[in-house]
Amino acid sequence: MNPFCSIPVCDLLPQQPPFRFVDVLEDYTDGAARIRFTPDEGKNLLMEDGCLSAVGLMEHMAQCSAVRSGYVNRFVLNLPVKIGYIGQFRKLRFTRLPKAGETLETTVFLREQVNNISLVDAEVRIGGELIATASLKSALKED
Amino acid sequence: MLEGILYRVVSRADNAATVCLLPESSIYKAHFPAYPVTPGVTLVQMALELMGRKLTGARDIKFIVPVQPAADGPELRYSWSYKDDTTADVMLCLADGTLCAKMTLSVQ
Repeated sequence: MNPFCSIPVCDLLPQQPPFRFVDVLEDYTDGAARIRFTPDEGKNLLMEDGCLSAVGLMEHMAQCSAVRSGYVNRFVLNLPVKIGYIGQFRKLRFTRLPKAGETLETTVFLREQVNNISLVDAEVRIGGELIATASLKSALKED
Repeated sequence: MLEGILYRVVSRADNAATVCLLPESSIYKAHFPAYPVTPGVTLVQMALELMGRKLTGARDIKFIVPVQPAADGPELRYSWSYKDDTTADVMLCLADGTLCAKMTLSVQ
């Protein structure tokens, strides 16, 4: 059993259903986090024509970055999970949109961290096929 | 997808529109509990719906200030222009003129 799968994502980011677009943190190694998500029309907003919409895919990538930060804050630095904002998306590309029921496996790689701002590259795969990439910057809310 | 759920259109012109956010939207209860902030991606979706386009990618999207419906007043002004058939520049401002977001979107 992968130990990461026992951490509910609700302990790692404050977003709530139906606006939660991540299911499980699968792995965290050297600043990179791998997250799994299966979009579900009954559970998620931002669905369209049986697929996760383009902005739903963007929100999924942003929440993967939030899960990464949440894991580091909670389990490495021993800090509470904080609210985060998306600051910037760059070079968003996608070849197709995920269908409801398909499982996304997304890896976010930390590229730079300055105080509460982190820059990550995200890669979204379905069954090994790379379907989307983007660079994104997010900021955690200061208390 | 979001009209009537997160916003309603107040006025519309050729390359601009004013929308009113709906503070009672269920999205604000989830994002975040006790701290409602308009999710950045929904600001992108509103632009797409107002332009009548679909997103195919994006070169750059900057979210400059968080949009909190209760604190900032719910009215948002969108304006856009097309660089070519598939590239749109979008600006989003609060009613007082504060720039909230700037986007260069690939659309179809």
